[in-house]
Amino acid sequence: MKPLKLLFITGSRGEWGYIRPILRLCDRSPQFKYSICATNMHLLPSFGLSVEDIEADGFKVDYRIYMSLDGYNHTTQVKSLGICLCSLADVIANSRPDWIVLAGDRGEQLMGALAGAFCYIPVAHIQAGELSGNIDGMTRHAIGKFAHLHFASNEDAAERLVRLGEEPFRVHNVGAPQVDELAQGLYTPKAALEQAHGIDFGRPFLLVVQHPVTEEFEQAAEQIDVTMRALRQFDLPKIVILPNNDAGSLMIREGIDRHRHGEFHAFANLRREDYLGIMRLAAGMIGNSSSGLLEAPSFKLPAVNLGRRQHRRLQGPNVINVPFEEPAIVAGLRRALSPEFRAELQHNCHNPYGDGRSSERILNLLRETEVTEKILVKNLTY
Amino acid sequence: MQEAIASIQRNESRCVVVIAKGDKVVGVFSEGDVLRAILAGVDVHTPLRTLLRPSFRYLRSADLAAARKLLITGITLIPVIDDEFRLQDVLTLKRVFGEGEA
Repeated sequence: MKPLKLLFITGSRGEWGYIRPILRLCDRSPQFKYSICATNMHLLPSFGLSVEDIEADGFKVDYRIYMSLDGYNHTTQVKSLGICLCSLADVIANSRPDWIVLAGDRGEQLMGALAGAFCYIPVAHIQAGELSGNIDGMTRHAIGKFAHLHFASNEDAAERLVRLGEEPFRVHNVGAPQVDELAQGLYTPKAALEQAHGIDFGRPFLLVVQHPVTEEFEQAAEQIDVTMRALRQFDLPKIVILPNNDAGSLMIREGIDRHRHGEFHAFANLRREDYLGIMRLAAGMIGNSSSGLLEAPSFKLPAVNLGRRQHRRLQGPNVINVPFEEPAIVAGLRRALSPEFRAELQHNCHNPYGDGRSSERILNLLRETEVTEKILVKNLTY
Repeated sequence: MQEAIASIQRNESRCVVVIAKGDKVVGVFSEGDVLRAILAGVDVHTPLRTLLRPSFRYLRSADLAAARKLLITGITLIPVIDDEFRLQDVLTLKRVFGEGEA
């Protein structure tokens, strides 16, 4: 039987975390062949040039789409997506995949969905159906309308897809594949982290990951100032991961630089294993990254979630939601770091995003789904 | 990047300390970073802010013993900064190993 040809599109470290465990399984099976198209932040030196991490992981990047215009405002973001879409048409024509595999809610994933749908190549979407704030929430559901197979990470997301008119046979609750590597213990141990980064991870520290909120673009500078001022009230080392390249990211980066204080280490990018290893050792996490909701509960890590970026998204008991107000952030952090809250989590914190076997389920479904007119031609149920 | 390369050529430490508005140290740019940028196809006129890696090793005082431990890992220059990340001193290979031997 011919191997199934998959095209994976990845633009950031975020969804690389979703697809890497799937690719590792593909490598162990003659039933699958795949190509990787890297774009957006992966190819930007200012965002850590994470395409090098993909290659260091032993994967070949078959296609590179340089799409990102400088400026990181709404206009440059839209134009960048246009460049991505144009280039994807050629990538698809050249690679001729059986399936295009997308993940998450970023703009380049939406371009992948559009290109696949218009080329009548079936599209599979990982982490489908969830709620999130920011333009990302709208993007995820727009992808849903073009995707032919939906891999939801929980029942809530699966039900939402059906309610939004997706035919039930297309919707599968498989869990979140980025939890697979956590379940397998694939994170850098403490000694290796200390050796690599020259930081003593034996003391309590805070992990900070704050991205711009696209619909609050003009408030990005103020939002990071509020967060940083709140953090000053905690005499703990801070490990800060710089934001993605959405509109407002430059303001966030400038704000981080402006507020460097005390023991403060900033990274544009970390290898995924290092990031998970640091998360495992952190006393608490603060920001608005999905990581606080999707990955942190596996480590029973308290996560102070700021503002609306993850608004209404399924979350575990480790998450404390607060607005972008200094007193609220300080109170949230105090609660997160309190022995009582941490004790609660030891007894009562499971990850609502899966059991570590999502990648296997995803590949089984791709292999078992025959690509016929029934798959390619979508009908909404309402 | 061109300006940084020129500064690196003038000093003997194979890197420069980068200071942003407000006098805060925001990174150390090295010859290695220049090579990585060239390999990535980056133009020499590219603003440093798009190339600078924000993580760097630093010390809070001119502690020569601590500096030696960092310098033998391959780093050639360590900024000494205060609590607000303002530059107080610079420890170079020459200074640390030269003074140490004295």
